[in-house]
Amino acid sequence: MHIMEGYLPMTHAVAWSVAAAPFVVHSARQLQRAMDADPSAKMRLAAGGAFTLLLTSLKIPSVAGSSSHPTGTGLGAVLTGPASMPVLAGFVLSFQAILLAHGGLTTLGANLVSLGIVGPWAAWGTWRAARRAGIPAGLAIGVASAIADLVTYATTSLQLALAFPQEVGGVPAAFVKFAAVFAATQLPLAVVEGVFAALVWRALGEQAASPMLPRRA
Amino acid sequence: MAKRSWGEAAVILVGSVVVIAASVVLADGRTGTDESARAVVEAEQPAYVPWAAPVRTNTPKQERALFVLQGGLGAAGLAMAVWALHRMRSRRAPD
Repeated sequence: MHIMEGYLPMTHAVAWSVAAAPFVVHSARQLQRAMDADPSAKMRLAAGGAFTLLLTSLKIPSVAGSSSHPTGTGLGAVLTGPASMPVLAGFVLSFQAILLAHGGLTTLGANLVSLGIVGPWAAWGTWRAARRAGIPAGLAIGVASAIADLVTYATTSLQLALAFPQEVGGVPAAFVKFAAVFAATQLPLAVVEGVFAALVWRALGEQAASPMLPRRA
Repeated sequence: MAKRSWGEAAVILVGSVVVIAASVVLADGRTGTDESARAVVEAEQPAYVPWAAPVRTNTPKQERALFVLQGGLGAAGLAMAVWALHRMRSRRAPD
């Protein structure tokens, strides 16, 4: 999900950074509110952030011969609410941009939008819909995490397509091209991520049911 | 309950270490999708010149070590959070 350093035109890089900024500010406020309201929130935030840090460090090989990273943001979004994820994702992305040369500082805004905003909200929406439909929590968190993974990479594909539309077919054709690059690796990876998230959810036990979340819709 | 706190945390930590090690070994030499996406940009838009470069560049060995460091920090943080949440729960529970 990392768009490489310098691989977005400057106007796009600035636009995505401006788009991400209010979410980051709101996220910082949300984190503070959550910690003030509930003593266990700090540990749930730590769990969500650490899970994202752990999963984005993994390079998982695929049958397609390539490798890619899970995102880990789905679990965090369900544990702490999607509004808190931009700060956690920003920390992870900055670590990787500065130390690992994965992603970049100029593409931080765009990567933050896909990993820290769109993916977590997709997970949250999936989680709520699944729980309302009576799906057990373990399965719901797995599906929500897998959806977050796929939506994150779809967003990255769209960002690249907007920056580099094809001469024939424009943005849609470019989107298909970039999505195809990610799809072969990311589809099985999304399943793996869902399984990891469900296992950690199980380990967290009843504490995973945050007061901020619907326990049973 | 205290034993369960340590048990869950230990399972998370050991499981994570195994997954990190497997990831390093199995993904070695494979092209990442980030690099594949960059290759598409370079093939489709050969005139495009990246206007920024990474803050630092790593050798493959350094990169692997840093990913392991990141994964280790994540695993330790996750195990600690699981342990602490179970401890908080046990303290709240009636004797």
